[in-house]
Amino acid sequence: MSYWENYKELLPEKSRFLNHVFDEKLTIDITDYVNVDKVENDILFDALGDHIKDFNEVDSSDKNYFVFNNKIRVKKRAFLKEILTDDCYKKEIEAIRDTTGRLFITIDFYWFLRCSDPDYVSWSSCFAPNGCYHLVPYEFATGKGMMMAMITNTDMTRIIGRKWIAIPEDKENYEKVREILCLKTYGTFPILYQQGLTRWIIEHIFNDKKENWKAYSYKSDQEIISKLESNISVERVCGGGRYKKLFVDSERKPIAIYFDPASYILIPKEINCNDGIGGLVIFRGIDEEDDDDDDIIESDDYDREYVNEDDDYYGHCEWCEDRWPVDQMHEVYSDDSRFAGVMLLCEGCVDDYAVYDEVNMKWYEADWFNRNCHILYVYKPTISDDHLLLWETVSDVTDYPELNVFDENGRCIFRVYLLIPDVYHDQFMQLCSNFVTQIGDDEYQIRSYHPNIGYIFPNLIDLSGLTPSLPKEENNNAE
Amino acid sequence: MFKIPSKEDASNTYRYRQIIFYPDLYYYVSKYVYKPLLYRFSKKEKIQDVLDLCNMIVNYNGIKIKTSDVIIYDTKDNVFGLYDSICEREKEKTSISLFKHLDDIYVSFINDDGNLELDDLIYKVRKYAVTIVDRHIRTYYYDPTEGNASTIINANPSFRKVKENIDKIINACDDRDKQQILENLSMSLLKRNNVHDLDVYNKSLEVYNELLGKL
Repeated sequence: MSYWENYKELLPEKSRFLNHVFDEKLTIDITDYVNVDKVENDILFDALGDHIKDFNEVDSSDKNYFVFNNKIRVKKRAFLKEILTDDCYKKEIEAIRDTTGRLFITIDFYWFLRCSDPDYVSWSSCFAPNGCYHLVPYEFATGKGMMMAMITNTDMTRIIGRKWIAIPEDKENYEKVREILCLKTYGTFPILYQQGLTRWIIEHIFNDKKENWKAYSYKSDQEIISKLESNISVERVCGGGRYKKLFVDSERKPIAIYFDPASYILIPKEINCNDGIGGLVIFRGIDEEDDDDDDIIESDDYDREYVNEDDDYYGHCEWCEDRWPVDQMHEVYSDDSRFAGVMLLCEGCVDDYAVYDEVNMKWYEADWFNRNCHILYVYKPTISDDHLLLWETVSDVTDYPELNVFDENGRCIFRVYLLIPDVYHDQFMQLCSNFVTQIGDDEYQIRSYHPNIGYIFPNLIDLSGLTPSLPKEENNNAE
Repeated sequence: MFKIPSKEDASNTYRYRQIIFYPDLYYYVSKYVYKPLLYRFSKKEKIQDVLDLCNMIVNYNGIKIKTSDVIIYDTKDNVFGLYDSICEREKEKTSISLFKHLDDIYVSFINDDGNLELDDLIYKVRKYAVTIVDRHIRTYYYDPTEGNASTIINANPSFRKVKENIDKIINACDDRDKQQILENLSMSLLKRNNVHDLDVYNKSLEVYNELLGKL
């Protein structure tokens, strides 16, 4: 059966699973759950920027005026128009009426397909019709606990922000688990909308009160989020959060699922996050034996979606256009908008047209990599320590010195990697000979945080957030 | 309320006493993009009255703005006076913090732009280890038709001057000064981001290599 047929067959069960809230309408307007005026005020205040907010006493309580330091009263929008670039002002402030648009929650098949459709959204994503994971929204439509929350403009012709909402199934009885996964946000999704959304879900789908639930956010509760995610098994997940991969039905066509990490997870207060709460996220997908050559989505108003089954197993190399099994191709970062950030290259082309970054463990389009060549670049590890954020890039790099930053007790509290191009190696060693040790042909270690490092690499002070100070044992020979 | 620098302001054709500054790019990470701003001094106003150099905060008509890049256009005496005032206030702090502050500041002398006397040049290098000699002034302007802030480089001819006078500079400096000069020059070369023009960069490299050979 096609995705559409499977979706239609699943719909009654899905509606029951979601407490029959979608029995009458597949898309429900829940804007009433959001205080729109407060959202607008918050956005205007936020647009002032930390470089102004943090250094002045700003009263933003008046709807139309900022008051600075109890003295200077200025019109909010006029002030922001002065300090923001014209493009930014139009996009972020003039469009604020749209940003404070309508909040919907939907299980409508066609809204799922529009989740990253350039005709509706302003962002690029692999879920776009030409994206490398373009089938995933179809898969999501055949998942019992999958919903999409979206903020749209007044006439619903643009999606301003959206996120997937998943309610896992219990491993034993396949009923819903008392847990809400709010996946990563695309576009703009202000916190008050997030709060209104979860309040609606708790009240209508779980027949409970929000006061009885607690929310963990990725920003502040990263470890808990990771733990909760790791207890969720997602069918054929191959990227995104820390979910377990699940294989359910060998009869169904295997399609790689990208399941975003959760930005928020909500569970009832009575449940301890260490208690192993978890469940399954399963998709019906399409059947393996369904071997029609062309599986065209049946729709009166959506006739351009076209799914060729072979796309699931094979892809076309973006460079030589040869057909290759997807698992033998490499995802290569590209800033070419045609590829939505990632292009697939076959093994034959990847060495010629891409550069593998050993620290970030990713392929990058060679032209882009070379265009962004700088003298130095610095990697900053996140808390999880196994995911590295690309700070800047450089070509012809072979050395990856490691900088350990110590606190006053000599305890290593921060670690960064410095990438020194060969051509600047001698200069670097000359300048840093006091605190860099060469420990192998291609291996260097920066022994400790010396103030001179802050001089040479001012970014490190910002990265580490530390005032330069020497570990005690290094004080004697630092100069 | 605020003045926005045009391209003419950034090149400062009319030689006003002014500063052009940009919101602190390192301080905030957000989707908002801000314009560079221009503050023109009144006759009696000093740089210190508007710019808190220790914290890199501009007091713009009563609103404080954290900034990362400041380009100062003022007379040589005023600019050197500013350095002197920093050193007084900052003498308890480490030299590294002083360097960091100075590193964020670009100066353009409006009365004798680039034509510093050699004695001044050496004096500044010796006393403060300031990288005046190798600065090419990158400054900002905002053109509404372009939609975003742009930068232009006002070339600083000091490199040529340093190159012409290498022997005199070397004779006037002790070993520590020489090392300091070399480090200052190499710092600017390491930060190629500050020198967008490849020709300028290559000329800088040439001076550096010549100094390296002689020091």
